[in-house]
Amino acid sequence: MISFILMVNKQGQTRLSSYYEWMDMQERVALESEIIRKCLSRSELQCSFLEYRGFKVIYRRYASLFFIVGTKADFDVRVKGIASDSDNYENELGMLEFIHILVETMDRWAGSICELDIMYQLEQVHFLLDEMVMNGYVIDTNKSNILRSIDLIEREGSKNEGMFR
Amino acid sequence: MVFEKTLNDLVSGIRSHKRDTALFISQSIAEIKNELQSPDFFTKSNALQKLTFLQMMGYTMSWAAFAAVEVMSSPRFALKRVGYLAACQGLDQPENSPVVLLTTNLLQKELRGANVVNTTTGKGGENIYHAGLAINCLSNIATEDLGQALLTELLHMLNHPSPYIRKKALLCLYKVFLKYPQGLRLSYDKIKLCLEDPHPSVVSCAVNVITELAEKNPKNYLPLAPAFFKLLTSSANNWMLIKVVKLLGSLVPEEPRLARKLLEPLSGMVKSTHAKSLLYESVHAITLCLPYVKKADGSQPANIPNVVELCVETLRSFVSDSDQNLKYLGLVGFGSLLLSQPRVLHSHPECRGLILTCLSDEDVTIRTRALGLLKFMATKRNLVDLISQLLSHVEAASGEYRCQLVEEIIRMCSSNKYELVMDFSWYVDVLVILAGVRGIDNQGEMIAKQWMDVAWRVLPVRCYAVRRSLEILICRGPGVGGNIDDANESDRHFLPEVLPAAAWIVGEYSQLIPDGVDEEGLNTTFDASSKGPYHALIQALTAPTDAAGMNPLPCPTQAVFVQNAMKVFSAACQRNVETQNSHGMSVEKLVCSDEELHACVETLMKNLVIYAESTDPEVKERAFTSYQLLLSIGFPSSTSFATAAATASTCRGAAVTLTYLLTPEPMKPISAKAQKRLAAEGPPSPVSVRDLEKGVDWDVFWFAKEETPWFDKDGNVKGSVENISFTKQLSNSTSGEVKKEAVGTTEPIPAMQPFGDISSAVAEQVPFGNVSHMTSGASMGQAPSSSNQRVGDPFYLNSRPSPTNALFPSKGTGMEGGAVDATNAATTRFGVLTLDSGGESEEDSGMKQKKKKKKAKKIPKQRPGVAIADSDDEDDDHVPRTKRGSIGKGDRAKEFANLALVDLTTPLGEDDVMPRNEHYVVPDRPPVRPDAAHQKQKKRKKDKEKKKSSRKEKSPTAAVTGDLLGFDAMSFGAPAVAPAPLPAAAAPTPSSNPINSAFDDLLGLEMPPSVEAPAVIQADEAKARKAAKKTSKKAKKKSKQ
Repeated sequence: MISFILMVNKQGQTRLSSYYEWMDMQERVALESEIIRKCLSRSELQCSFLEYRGFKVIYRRYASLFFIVGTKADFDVRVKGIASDSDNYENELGMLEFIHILVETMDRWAGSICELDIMYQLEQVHFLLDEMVMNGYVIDTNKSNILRSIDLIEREGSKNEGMFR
Repeated sequence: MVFEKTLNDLVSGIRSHKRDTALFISQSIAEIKNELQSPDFFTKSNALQKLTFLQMMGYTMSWAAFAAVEVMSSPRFALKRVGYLAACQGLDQPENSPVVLLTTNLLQKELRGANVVNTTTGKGGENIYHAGLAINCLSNIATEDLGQALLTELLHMLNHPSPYIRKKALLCLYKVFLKYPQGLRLSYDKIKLCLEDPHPSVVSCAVNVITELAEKNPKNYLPLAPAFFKLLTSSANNWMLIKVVKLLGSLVPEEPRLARKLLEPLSGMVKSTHAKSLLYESVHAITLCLPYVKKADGSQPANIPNVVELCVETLRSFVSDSDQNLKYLGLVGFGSLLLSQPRVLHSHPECRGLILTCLSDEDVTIRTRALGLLKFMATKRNLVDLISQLLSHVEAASGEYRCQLVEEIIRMCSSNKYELVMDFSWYVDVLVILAGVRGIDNQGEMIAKQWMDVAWRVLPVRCYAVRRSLEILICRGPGVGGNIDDANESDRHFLPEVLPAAAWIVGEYSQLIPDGVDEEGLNTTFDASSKGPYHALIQALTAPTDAAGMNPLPCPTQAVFVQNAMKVFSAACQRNVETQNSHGMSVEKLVCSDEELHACVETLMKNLVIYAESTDPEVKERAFTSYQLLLSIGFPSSTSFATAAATASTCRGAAVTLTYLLTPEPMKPISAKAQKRLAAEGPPSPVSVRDLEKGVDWDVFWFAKEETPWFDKDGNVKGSVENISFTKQLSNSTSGEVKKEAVGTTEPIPAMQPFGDISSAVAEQVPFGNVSHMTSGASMGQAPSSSNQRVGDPFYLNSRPSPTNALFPSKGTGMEGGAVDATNAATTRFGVLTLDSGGESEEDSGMKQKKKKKKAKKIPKQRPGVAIADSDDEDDDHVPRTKRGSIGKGDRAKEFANLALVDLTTPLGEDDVMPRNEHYVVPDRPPVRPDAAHQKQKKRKKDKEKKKSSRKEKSPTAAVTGDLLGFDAMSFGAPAVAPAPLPAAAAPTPSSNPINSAFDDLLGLEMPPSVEAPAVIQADEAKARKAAKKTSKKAKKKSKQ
């Protein structure tokens, strides 16, 4: 399962984080900074997978933004027959594909997505992400399906706008 | 009116306050705190939104949990969403968070809301998104209680017309099961049904969930294998196929027959698919299958070589791909393939080359993976070659990877008791090289262990190991005098952990030093003034700082050094060595010249004094003992006046003593088993005194014959032994007296035998029990009183309260009977103690057994086929559950274990019923709402229902009334009598719109009565009725009996 999804810019600032497994704040901050540091230090020529603290981290870089997905790493559990405290890991290439779909979806939603879009519309991006991933599992990869609900929200949001201002 | 900052303002603010971001943020948080107090939902949600943003930046927001729940209950979707998001992101760990319980009603209402709109208006309204939010949130904050409360609703949603809801509910269920494993048994049938859902995305989610569940306990899902097999062959959805392949892979260990079946379709998929991800997954699954393909008669299916070939080919193409990701996956795949087919690389030399090139890849992830494969490639023949390649990598590598390399090298060489190593002197060289590598601090111990292990296991290489140790010790840095080639040696570096190992080898096998030195010209000058190898070594070992004079050695190392310096010295003192010269004649030769010995003594006397002042007790003790030993042998504290010859002769005279004292039997590598046996046979000390007595030449202790404060000239103890008391606080001198006694007397003394069979003179030495009881004469009279004084003092062995003493009246006679009896008393006392404790432990175990029996009795009573995680569930399953101990942080493993315990193979028992929540209606609460009468009516109705249900099934649950939490237990009765079968029954009346009264609900004060009507799943009803009938029948039977 996916343990966390991060979007981080080149300066190492988190732009979006979503955890599907509970971690306390200190842990999160430490984990983020460590993973970001590792991702940043890697070149284009290196593979997109990292193994870190029991997570298998799959990342992809789009312009100045890193999309980082952390899944639980495999310790060849089943082969060795060691019991089950590690999750089934996700297919690495599948995750790369997922990141790409995520970016494409966001692109379609906001024209060409950039860091600022994510910052200023955090709410919506979260919602969009929730439509794609729930509870650490990919639930939908169909762009129009995903965007249908977010469109709805925006429509409703604009309706409410008048009420408050 | 104050205008609050919006999220956008906050973001721009943070961006513009680059310098004092922290200050700006703390100001903002203060504002947010204020805003959260406001009654206005919009302000609140705005504040929460900002807080969520800050949370992302690493500021905790669990303090705003209550506000989040408040905003969650807002009727407006846009605001509500903010609340839900905040709850998902920023709540405390659900088990510890007090607000999670508050969300129960809210979530329940939202979940029911989805059904309402759809069934009444018929169109998929916006409410499904409300429910979607709620499900999403629930999956993030699920706890056991929440799961129990909402399980019915969630299962209900699996029948929802919209696939959007169905798949979300399905995934959420998995999370609920993690927290509330019992739920899985109750809902497993529903989940199975989802595999046949018309909507592919729902099927995909079901596969997801089952894959995840199967990971925990594959056995449960074996019956589903055919269904998945069908999916595998028919589906074209790659996302799902990946999961299916994974799932089948995890089922294989449970059902080996599946492995053979899978090979064919999987290899078909490998050949046909274009998606690399699926390709990889299939290959991986094949590698998982391969260990299990053996048929019952031990033969392999005919297609195995082809399949393996296919895998190797695919993986090879991955590894040789220019895409780094594929390369990585190829290596991972090889890793799992090699576990079942370890010899595969031997027949594919081209793969070996590929993997070796990966070692020099610039990506550390790839290098690490390639490194893990090396152990499968090593053979006796290519080991030397491989290791030398690795050693060259070690130099180039850095950081973590360097450590891994070193570890891997050692692991490869030492695997299976050095199976692959043909030439151990080569291995010693490798170890020396590794010991010189910088930056591998964690591996030092490993290297040291290996080194000692090789030296004492492999006889032929011992001499060489001694030689290399000499080199390390003597040349570990530029000498103090600095006459060694500085430029060459200044960068000589050895891991600190290796030094003690080297010192131990040199000391232990010090008789090999001459051979080691002779073997080749070794520059054994440590110091300009060193006289020879022994002197150099002793200088090196006793130099208080490291050779460079820079860093003091760590204390444990110093301690080992001191001890081994003495061992080396004793070897140097040996009178002569017999060697065979070229003519086969035995030639006697001095080990060490007079001058060198003299220099050794000088160095030792000089440096041991320094060590004896160490602050580390171990070092101090050893140095002091050694120093005193040297003094007692007859060296004056300053040897500067003595002639070399005189010193040497003294040394040689003392050689026997020194060897006897310092060099015990050489250590042998014996297995742990043998060691255990030895320990079981006799006293833990490897040298039994009685055995030694025979061989001991007591003249060795000639020097002890002098008069000391405690001994007279004949070595007899001054004073009488009778006044030795072990029970009183003694001055050091008297305890020393007894210790010295053994050494001091000329005759063999039996006193040191540890227990039993003790001659009268030294009966006092029995180290156990209350010795004062056994002493004769004056101390005997005091014995009872002193023992009484200590009654109850836990420090003493016999401190048990008097009853135990009374049990053994023989004690008194033993004391009267003088010394011999005293020893008897001692043994009985000893026996008493063991008996005593033995009895107690017996009692203990008896109790335990009883307990076990009780448990054993309980187990058959347990409902058939119900496997429940904790034992306390056994009894109070029918009792409404109060809040259970929360699952602590990091207990994921436990969660999974619980889930794994759930057994799905047995049919549902009659007690396995859906939890149902009913709100407890406070009977005498003053009516708050005008429609109190209505409520009362409902209440009556509910009472009726209760009666009905209790009549119907006489379940024990009906007896439980007035429970505080109002979980009126799980019973099928209520669903059976529910008036309307349709979900619409759950519809709240318009007057009590859930949203309007949401707030009241939060506090659990009031509940729209209609909600009490249980939601029923139509399909389930017939079944439920049957179950209820069964229950009642059984109950009747029971009552008849």
